[in-house]
Amino acid sequence: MKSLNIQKTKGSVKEKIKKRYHSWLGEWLDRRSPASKSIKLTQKRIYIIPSKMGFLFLALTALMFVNGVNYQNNLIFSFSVLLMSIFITSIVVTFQNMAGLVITAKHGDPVFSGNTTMLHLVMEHSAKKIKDGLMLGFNREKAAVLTPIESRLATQLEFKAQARGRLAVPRLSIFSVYPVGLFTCWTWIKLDFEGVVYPSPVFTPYQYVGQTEAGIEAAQQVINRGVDDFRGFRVYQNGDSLKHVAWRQYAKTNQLLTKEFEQPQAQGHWLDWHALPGYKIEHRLQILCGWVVRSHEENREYGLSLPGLSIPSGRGDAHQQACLTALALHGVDAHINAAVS
Amino acid sequence: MKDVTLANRALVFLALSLLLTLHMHLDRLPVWIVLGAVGSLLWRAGIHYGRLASPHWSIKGALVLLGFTGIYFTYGRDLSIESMVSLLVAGFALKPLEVEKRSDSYVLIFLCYLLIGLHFLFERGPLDYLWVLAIMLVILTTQITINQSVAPNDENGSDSIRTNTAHWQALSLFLKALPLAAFLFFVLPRLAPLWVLNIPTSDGVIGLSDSMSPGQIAQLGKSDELAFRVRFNSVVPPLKDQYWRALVLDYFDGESWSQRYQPEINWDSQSYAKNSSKDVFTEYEVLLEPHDEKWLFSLGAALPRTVNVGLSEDGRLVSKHAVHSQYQYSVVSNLKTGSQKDSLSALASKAYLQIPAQGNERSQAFARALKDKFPSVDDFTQALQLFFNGNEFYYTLSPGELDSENTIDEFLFDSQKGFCAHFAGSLVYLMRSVGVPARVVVGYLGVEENPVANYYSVYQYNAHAWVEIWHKGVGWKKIDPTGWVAPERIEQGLEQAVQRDFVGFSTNLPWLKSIRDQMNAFNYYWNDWMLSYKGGAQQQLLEGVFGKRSELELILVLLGCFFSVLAIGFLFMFMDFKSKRLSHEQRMLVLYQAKLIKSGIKIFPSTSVLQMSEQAVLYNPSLKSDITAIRHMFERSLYVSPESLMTKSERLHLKKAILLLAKKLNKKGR
Repeated sequence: MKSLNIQKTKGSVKEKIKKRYHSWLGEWLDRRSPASKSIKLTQKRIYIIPSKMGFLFLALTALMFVNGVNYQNNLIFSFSVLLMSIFITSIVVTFQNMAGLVITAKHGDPVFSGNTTMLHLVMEHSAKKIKDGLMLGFNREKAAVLTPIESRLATQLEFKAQARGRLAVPRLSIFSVYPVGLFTCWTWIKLDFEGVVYPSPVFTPYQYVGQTEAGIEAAQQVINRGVDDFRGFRVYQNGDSLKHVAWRQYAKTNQLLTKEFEQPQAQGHWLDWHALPGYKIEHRLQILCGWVVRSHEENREYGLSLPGLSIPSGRGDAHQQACLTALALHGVDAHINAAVS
Repeated sequence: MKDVTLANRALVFLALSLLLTLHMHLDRLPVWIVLGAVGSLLWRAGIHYGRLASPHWSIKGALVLLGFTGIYFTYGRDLSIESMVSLLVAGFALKPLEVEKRSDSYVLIFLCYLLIGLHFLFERGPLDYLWVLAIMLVILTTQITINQSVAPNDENGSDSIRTNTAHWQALSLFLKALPLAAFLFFVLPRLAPLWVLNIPTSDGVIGLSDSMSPGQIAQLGKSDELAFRVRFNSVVPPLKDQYWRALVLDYFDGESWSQRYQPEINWDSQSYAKNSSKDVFTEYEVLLEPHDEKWLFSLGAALPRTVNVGLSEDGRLVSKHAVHSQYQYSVVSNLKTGSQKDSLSALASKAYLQIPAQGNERSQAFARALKDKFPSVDDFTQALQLFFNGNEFYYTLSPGELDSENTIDEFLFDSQKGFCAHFAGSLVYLMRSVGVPARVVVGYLGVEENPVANYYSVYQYNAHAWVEIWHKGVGWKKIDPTGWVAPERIEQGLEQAVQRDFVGFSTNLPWLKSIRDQMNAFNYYWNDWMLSYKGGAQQQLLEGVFGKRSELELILVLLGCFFSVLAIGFLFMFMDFKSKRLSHEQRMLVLYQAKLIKSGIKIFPSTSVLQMSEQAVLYNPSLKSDITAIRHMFERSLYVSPESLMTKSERLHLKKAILLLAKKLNKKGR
């Protein structure tokens, strides 16, 4: 038991050192290469060391060398020298394969916090040679192999979004052992992706503040009648909720139709910040987010009211996106502004 | 790192490299290893196509054990290079069964490199070298292929994605690596062996042996293998002096001659004192083919000029170590005087008078009778020459067996057919039986000129045996009884002397001979530059380039060269020259600024062209038209549109205008 404890503490010390090192490394890298939209890989950013196989190759070269010396065999000697020279030259070739690559961050698909999104980026270069064998990822273990880049490649990368707000992507690594695998060449880049992370929705019943009796009634009616008030079909348009697609008809006619319902004419379906007194900001935003999502799913007309911002009533994907973005960015830019001023 | 499963293409290349490597060692491998390797490759292919299962670890283990046992039974316990290479190949042959991931294939590729390199233990010709380099390129291509992210024509049909062609990549990498490799080859010091290796190759080496039974040299007479090459630094001696001494045989057991008496060996090279004006010194370098022995070849009374070559008391050169690879040494020989010695030691005279107690009575009686008639050694020798000339002695490469107990008797009085060994042996016997110290000398006679390169070759068919006899007060004197019988052997070489016996290598066709000369010349240069480039030759080259320096200085200079070459190379690769380079327009602007500042006009780096012009006009209003012209030229190219770059003539025009203006401004300043 005792020894186990000791090991545990040892492990934690090691862990601590590792953590320290990583945070120090992170800071150093941040200072060295701050985030930007587009990054060109130059010798300042590219690091290169022999790979495991490179060391094995060196051992082989040494073995050949000893063979050549011991048998006083000039041909074996020359062969070992040639292998050595290939080893050294491959530093340059491996480096060149990566150098000159321009990586531009495009955007990240909007996503709810905690979900996985796609980051879109473009890699370009003007070299004559095709850049091959590149791998891209947040760490080496889970890196994606990129197809060879002749001059331009648009690619995507999966990323699990963290906190709501503007999309913040940690440092990315691009690395390669191409062409001969004797050297690992890598770079750390911090890219600014455009994009927002919505709060993760929390689903609770609606609550309203400061509305007319009629409004509440109407809203209540909607809740009561819900989607039962079927009016007819219309042709599916982009932005219609999939929940309202008439799948049965689709199966029969192969045409996408959307079920239309009687819309409550209530003006006052407001998703209001002030309806949730006593909640913490983030939690409030999450609940509001849940309401937006549900309202959209139910194909209602809704408006969003946040302190200092209100989005008039509307519906559809664009409207939902505007509302979610407002929620995502609530306080973010103000915070930045405050920090700046 | 993530380990990637190999693409089809990589596997094909891997198999190709493996087969080529195997092919290289094919004739020195036992059949079962080759079969095993091919079998393992087929099994791997079966796994790839899903026909066969991956072998269980126990099967792999059993195969490894089987391999070891097989090697043991094939080669026994004796360690030879062949058995070691076989062991390596056996392991290598089993490896494909394991290769699934990229890291496995690296191991296989590195083994390929190692094995093709070991080919040079057996073969050292220029063609072998080219062949190894070609295979190396294939292996390098394989190595690149396994690192490509998408192989073209992948099974997914992703044809639209182009990649670099792996073999061109490999070639380019190879060519880029070549200069550095050449530099390292010529400059890296050749170390002495780190530990002594005595693993001989089991190929027999053709050449002289340290015992001579009649008929042995005749065998050599039929071989046209190269024994050594020689380059004369002074006048080439005449054929009568081209006796290359290698061995002195003193002991006769009634049948064959061998070396029993071990004379002292002097390892410190002395300097020659010129004894008389008659002395002729010949300087030459010998490039010896490996013969796994210690004896070396030299003419006349020789003095070694190379360290680790000793001079034995009987006038032979001896190497400190057996010669397992090509070896070069230089010698100075005195051809006129024999080895000068006033007296023989008791031990030596006993050795050089030894004959078996019994046998060959007829010869002994004949010699004694002759000696009674001609008591002086010279007269006795003359009489013997007459005896050989007067009888029907016949010089041939295939004299037939001598099967009686008294071989000398049988040869001298019955068969009378023999090769040089017979004549030499019997003459020494006759000399010794009348108390004249004599010995058999074995070596080569003659050289063949290669007209293309300036050197001479000595082949195995030049092998020869002759006699040295002791003259009191004079020393050892060379006598060649073969010359008495077949003078054409000495004067025109072996080919003429035994023309009937030559079938294999007669070079009557002139063009064939010229091709052979060309090939030999190439081989010679190859040997000179690739195989024997070490030690002395290296030092000579380096001194030629860097001047004579101490060892430490030389090392420092070389290190300096090495690192500066490396640094310059890397600088070029890593610097992003293009992005830092100013455009022509910018450079013109900088020039303009500099000129104006020089003339005393206040200009800041941020000043625009317009401001610069205004300042200049203020400074010297009379030059207003010039200044405006320059301004217009700048404005047209810099600001109108990005496409309106200056042409070369415009640029030159502008430069001229700026320089002219600067001149005028300066004139005014004074």
